[in-house]
Amino acid sequence: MKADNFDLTEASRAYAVANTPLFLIRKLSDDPAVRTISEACTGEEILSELERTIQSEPQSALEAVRPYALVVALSLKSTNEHLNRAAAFTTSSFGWYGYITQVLTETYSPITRAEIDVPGTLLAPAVESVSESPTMVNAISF
Amino acid sequence: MAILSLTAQLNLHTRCENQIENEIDRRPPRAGDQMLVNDYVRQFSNATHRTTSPSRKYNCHGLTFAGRRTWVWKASEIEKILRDDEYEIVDFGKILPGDVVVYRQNGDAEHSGIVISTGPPPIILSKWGPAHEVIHRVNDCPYNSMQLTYYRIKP
Repeated sequence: MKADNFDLTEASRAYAVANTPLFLIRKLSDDPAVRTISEACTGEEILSELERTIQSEPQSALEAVRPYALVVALSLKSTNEHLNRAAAFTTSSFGWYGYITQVLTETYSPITRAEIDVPGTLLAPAVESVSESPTMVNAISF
Repeated sequence: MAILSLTAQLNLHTRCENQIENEIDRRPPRAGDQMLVNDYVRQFSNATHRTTSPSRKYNCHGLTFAGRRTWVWKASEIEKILRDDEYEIVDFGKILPGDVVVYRQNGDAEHSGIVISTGPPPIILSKWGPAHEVIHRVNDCPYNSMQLTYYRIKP
């Protein structure tokens, strides 16, 4: 799946009222589309798309938020290898890029996703939780 | 008239003559910016949307603390302004028009505005990022209103 195929409408809405980059990071981290990018695309795919998008001046609200969404998606990966490589990119077209990548690399916490099968008779809906802890449980089956 | 660069830092000082890190962005709105503003106008229909033109020349902190001249976005700069300009915390029951309110989350001053009516609820004049200026109830905006601090500047 290509990293440029996702609907970033909500991300652009957040960017439209963002006074600070930390506000934008918080909103993007909670954005389902950004989480989907992180889960559906490899680090290399996201990095490649990121490198392409920061080369040119954004012409639209969606283009303006795309690099930030991509780098936040990298920060949700289970390793920080690609995030660290993204932090080495430089751009003059996206004023918050350096600050946001610095914050994300400094606050990175590895996330592990796992499905846990628990013997039992009840079927529970899939749950997803995000916390300060480095483990994310995607689903529990009873 | 002088030829100005599209982005620049203004000479902007606190009362203690410390430079406040800032950036004025003179580039015109991008495609889609106005549409997003229109979305917020519809979503927050109880607010007064004072202007409807997006602008990246200044943000909320630029309106509250820098006379609408520029964009200030670092939390540390807001704390510097509050300290150097001798802002004092005001209890909720004692706020007056002209006081300022700072919205924080995890230490980040994510929004600020000027109290124009004490209410309750207080009514705030602020600018929403690169969007537009809005007169709104203190808790009727896209920002976290769980941690609000009111300030009054000392003469």
